[in-house]
Order: sequence, then C-alpha cells, then structure tokens
Amino acid sequence: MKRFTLLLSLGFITLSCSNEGENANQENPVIAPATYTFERNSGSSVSYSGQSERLAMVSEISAALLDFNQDLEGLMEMYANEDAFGNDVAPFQDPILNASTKSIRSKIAASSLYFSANTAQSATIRSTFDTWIGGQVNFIFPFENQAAAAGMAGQIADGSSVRYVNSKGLEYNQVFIKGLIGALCADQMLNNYLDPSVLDAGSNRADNDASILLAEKNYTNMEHKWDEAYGYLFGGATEGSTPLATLGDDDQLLNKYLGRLINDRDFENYGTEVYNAFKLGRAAIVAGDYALRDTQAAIIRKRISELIAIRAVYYLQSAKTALGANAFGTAFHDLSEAYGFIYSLQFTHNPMAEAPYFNGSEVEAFLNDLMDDGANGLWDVQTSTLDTLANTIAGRFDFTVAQAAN
Amino acid sequence: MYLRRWIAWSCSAIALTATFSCADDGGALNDLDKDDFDRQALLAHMADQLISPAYSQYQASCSDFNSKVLAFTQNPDATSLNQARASFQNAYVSWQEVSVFQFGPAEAQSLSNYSNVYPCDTSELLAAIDNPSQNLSLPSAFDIQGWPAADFLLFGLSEDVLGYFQSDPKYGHFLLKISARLLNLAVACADEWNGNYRNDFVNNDGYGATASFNKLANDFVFHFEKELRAGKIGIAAGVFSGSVLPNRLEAYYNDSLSKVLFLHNLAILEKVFTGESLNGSTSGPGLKAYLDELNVRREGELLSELILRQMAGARSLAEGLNASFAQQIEDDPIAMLTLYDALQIMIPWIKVDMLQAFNVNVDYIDADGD
Repeated sequence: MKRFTLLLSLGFITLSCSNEGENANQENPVIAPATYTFERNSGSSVSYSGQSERLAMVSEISAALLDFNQDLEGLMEMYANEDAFGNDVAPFQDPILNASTKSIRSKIAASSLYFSANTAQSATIRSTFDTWIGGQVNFIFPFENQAAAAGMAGQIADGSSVRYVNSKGLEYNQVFIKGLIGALCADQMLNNYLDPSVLDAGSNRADNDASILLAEKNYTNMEHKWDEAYGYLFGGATEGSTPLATLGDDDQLLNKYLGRLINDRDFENYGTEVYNAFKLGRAAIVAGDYALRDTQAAIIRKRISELIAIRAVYYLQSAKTALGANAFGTAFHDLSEAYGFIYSLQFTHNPMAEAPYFNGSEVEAFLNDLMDDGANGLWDVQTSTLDTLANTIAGRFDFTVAQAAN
Repeated sequence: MYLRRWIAWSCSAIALTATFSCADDGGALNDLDKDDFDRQALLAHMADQLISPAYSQYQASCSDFNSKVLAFTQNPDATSLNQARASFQNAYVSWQEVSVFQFGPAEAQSLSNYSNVYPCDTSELLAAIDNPSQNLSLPSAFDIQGWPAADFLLFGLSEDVLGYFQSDPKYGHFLLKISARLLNLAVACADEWNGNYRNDFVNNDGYGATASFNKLANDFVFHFEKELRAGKIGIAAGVFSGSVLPNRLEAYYNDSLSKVLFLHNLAILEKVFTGESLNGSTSGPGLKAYLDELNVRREGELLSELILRQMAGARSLAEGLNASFAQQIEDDPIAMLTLYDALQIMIPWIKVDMLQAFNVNVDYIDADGD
C-alpha cells in the first residue's frame, strides 16, 4: 500500500514537472542542484540562522528541564528569552543565544495560515507549554528523590535509565519537547514559511521575479522564507547544504525523528524525498516557477505531517509491548513521547485540505482518552485504549499501524 | 550507519514474521501455536542444572565478598585489600552466570539494575559517600552501586586505594553498604530458585508472552544482543559512537578482568543453547534441541549448527584478544570490531529465525536512545 502511494506521488511530481516545462519554461526546465547550495553575486543566498538559533535554544532548555538546580524563573527565561516584564535576559550557556533576539515562545502556534486570525487558540497553546514547564518545576522537581507510584510523582526506571514522572505517570519534559516538534517546527515550516500567504506576501513575487534583494542581504524575501522552512528541519546540521549525511543527529526535534523514520524500511525514502523537495522548490523560486514551488511544498507538508503521526503511533504501540512486560517506566516514557507527538498533530498540514489532519479539539479528545482510563492516568491505561488511538490516527493517513510500529 | 541498517533490516524481518503469525492465527490458533517439543522438560533441566546452581553459586560468591569487605574495612591493610579484590573478581565472574536469567525473582528485585549498571557515575558515587541519607533503592542510584561501584572503590579510587580506606572510614562504610546490598539481592533470588519459584517456573510451560519459555528465550536473545554484543564489546569499541569509549567497559578499573567476564558470559549463553549443565557434568534439552526437533534450517544447514559454529568462532576471536579490553582497544580496536561483527551476524539468526521457529514474540523494543 505504501509503495503504491509512493509511486502515485512520484508520478504526480513527474507530471507536474512536465506540465511546468510546457507552460512556463519549455527550453529550461527547473533542475534541482545536487546539494542545497544557491548562490548570487559569488556568495551564498541561503540563510536560516534564526532557525538554527531556536533549535540550539531548544537543546539547552531540554537539558535544563532535567537539571534539578533550575527554577521556574530560569526555565521561563530560556523559553521566552526575556523576563516576565519583557526585559532582555541571558539565560543560556551559549553567548550567541543570549545575544539573540529570537525566542522559542514567540514562535509557538504562530503560523500565518493557522493562527494569524486565531490568536485566542494560539494564546491557549502557549499557556499550555507554560504549564508543562511549571509542572516540571512544581510537580517533578520536589519529588526528585522519591520513587514514583500510582498517584505519586517521582522517579521510575526505564531499563537502566531514570525517568521523572508526575503523579499520573507523565514526563513533562518529554511532552514539552515533543510538543515543540509540532507547535514550533512543523507549524512554522508547513503553515507559515511554505504557505503562499507568507511566500507571496506583499510584493514578494514581483521582487523575486525582478531579483530585488532585501536590504543589505543577498537573497529575495521569498528565497529567505523558503530557507527558513528548511532551517526548521536542517538548521542544526554542521553541513547545512548536505544534511542527509547527519540526519537524525542534528537536533532533538524534526531532524532527529526524520532520522529515526528512515531506519524503518517502510519510510526509508522520506529523508531524501523531503530534502529533494526543498532543493527543487528553492530552485523553482530562483526560476520564478511558483506552481512547481507549491507542488514541492505539498510533498514536504505531507511527509512531515506523516512523520508526526507515525511517531505517535510508534510510541503508542511500543508502550503496549512494555506494558505487557510490566515495564511501567518504559511504557510511561513511550507514552509521554506519544503524548507530545499526538499534541503535535494539530499543527500538521494535509495538502489536500489545507488544514491539519486532526484539529485541536480532536487532539484534546485523544489526550483525554489516553489519560482517563482510571484515576491515576497512565498507571491505569488499557492496551485497548492504545490500540484505538493508534488505529484512529493511522486511519487518516496512508500508513498502517503495523508499518509505524516496527 | 551499521546499526541503522541492521535495525531497518531486522524491523522489516519482524514485520514479515508478524504477518506470517497473523495468517497462522487466522487458522486454528491452538494447534498451530503448539508444537511437539516438551517445553516443561527443557524448563526443568534449565532450572535444576543451570539456573538454580548458578544462583546458589552467585549467592556464595556474594557472601564471601561481603565477609572479605567486612574484614578489609575493619582492618584495612595490604592483605585484606588483596583478599577483597580476589573475592570481587571471583564474584564478578559468578555474576556473569546469573546475569542472563533476569526473569522471575531477578525481575521482581530489579537485580540487574542494582547489580551491574556501568559505567559507574564516579562523581555521584563520591557525593553519595558523603551523604549518609543517600537512598540506594532509587533508580537514579543504579549507577553508583553494584559491581561497577565496587570495581571503582577497590581499583580506581586512587593510585593508593589502601591509603584512602585507611585515612577515612567513610569509604569502607560505603563499600560495605554495596557488598551487603549485593548479597541481600543474591539471597532473595537464590532463595526463590531453591524454593517456590522453581516449580512455578517449570509448570508455567505454555506458549503465551508470560510463559517461562518465552521469558527464557527472550532473555537469551536480549542478553546476547544488548549485554554481550553491545555492552561488553560494541559500545566501547565505538560501534555506536564512531569513536572508541574504553571507559564504558565492564570492570574498567580492574581492566585485566574484562576478557574473563566476557568469556564466562558467552559460556553461559552457550550452555543455555546446548543444554550443558553449569558444571559441565551432564546435559539435557537446551535451545538447540528445540530447534533441531523443529528441524530449523538456514540455507540447508541446521540453524543450531550455524549458531554453535559462530559462537565458537566468536569465542576463539575473543580468546585472541588482550586480557584487558581497554588495552586491546588502544592497541588494535579493529580486532574488537571483528569480534563485534562475529556476534552481530548471529542476531538475525537468534532474534528472527530462532524466535520465529519457537513462535515467541520479541518482548522488547530497541530503545531509541532518548
């Protein structure tokens, strides 16, 4: 089934390319370069340093969430890169990040397509992330040296590793980081920078057609927007033009899990497909072929959305195996990751619908189902609940639960 | 890259397996799940000739270690230190013979986590020595106790271990706490194997996920893959990191022990496979007998013969290495990688071919490292 879909979508791409060739550029069809390298005036026209900085900020806050010497103020400052009164702060170890004007929090649920006219929901989502940081400080940190039990926060073994869970078995740090995969990375990439409302904003098309560059920059605004989308996936790579070589090792977010995905034979081409779509789409922008650009954006939107859903299903099924072996710590860790990936589903983008595969209320219902099999949350979760969730999520995509689970 | 490829390969192999099992289940489930092999006879033989004797011996080794540590801490001198060290080496070897059997009482006690998580977190350990209220039963304390902690205290604390123990009794107090915990855990497990659990184990001879044989077979594969292949060889040889990590070796501070530990661990896995008893005096049904009864072949040859030959090959590769794997890694890491590869070849044979033939589902998932 998967291979069939794959062939179909490849066929779709081929068709679009030849159509473009006939319509716009018969003599010079757009060719993607071998690597994500684009130049003008003898210099690179690619830039996504803001994304690289945010990925690095996530890396620091991720470690800090398990540093029991941290306090709420410090963690919130890392998250917002300002204090509660909006003053500049220096919460990071890396001085470049302290000097940066960027922040994680300002880009949570902040896409043009989904949230520019839905600021209420955006604010709700941001405050949800706030409560997860607060939960880590208030409901995990005080119980550092207590063994977790049903209804009691504390530490629990996952194999020989240690996990720190709340009274319902949930790890806030996992929920937070996996939630960022959707609310920060996917939302910014799929629903902001790859969206025509951003790519074509203002005079972007005319400027791009006329090669009018941003002031003191070597790129057009449209080129830059596309690069910023690229940066949310590959901005952590040391060799940003050839990031597939280190795929999976360059951040803790999308890059990491796209790297996991290609280890599964069912999805082994996803990394190359997404990378190629980014290259061809960027080349299309240089060539002024915006229809081709948008077909590449559609490929990226579909694959990155699937990545989030596949990982959600994967962790739900892993947890089932762990529960079968009474390995509660392992199961809770899997389910905390699943929780974050499920949360992230509301930021996916179905290119056929121009909307998320699951909306915010559907996601909320999933998470309630996951936590409400008994009074003690994950301590009481039934494997039938995990199967139902996995089947419902996979049911809206082209992959099966079995393909995601292995 | 190597690991990735392998995981991808094995995942799809498991997917295939799953597909086949589903098809089977669609038919007459009970008839197809069962086979003619006498699982109970294998379980009884394993319990009586291998597992119970191994736990009894381990308990005795821990008891000796605890008393040698007591003597050393009461009167720290060169003689008592040497006796404690010799007893440590003997007991660590004895641990290798129970470490593969982590179901039942060992699982209930988290025996492996409390006894042999390495590398030891030495800075946490030193902090714990100064903290009388340190709770060693917490999961965060796994890596400051057990054999790796004893290894550090007896061999790695300083150039002058004896001087440390003579200068301040806190080191002795902590070492004694560790040796007593090891002994208590060993007693709890050995008592069960010599008592009620033996019959529970043998009588639980069905085919479900929690049946004794399914646990035994899974532990065999898990241990081979994670503890022997990755833990004792691959991680330190740099297979998963790209650079060598000798400080991840078992018995790092008494590093001349690392090869001996590996060889004893391999030997017990060979015995589970062949059915040889712990002391080698008798033999009975092991995994090999089961595979042969089912006539499991790979490219025409009996799978059991392939596995035996490969195990023997790995053994002779290991015997050719330096007694200290740390030294071996420094001198010639390629030889360690060659041993790793020889072990790796067996993973699909035992994890896919063998478990599939036994109709046993893998009950663990490759941790994705986060």
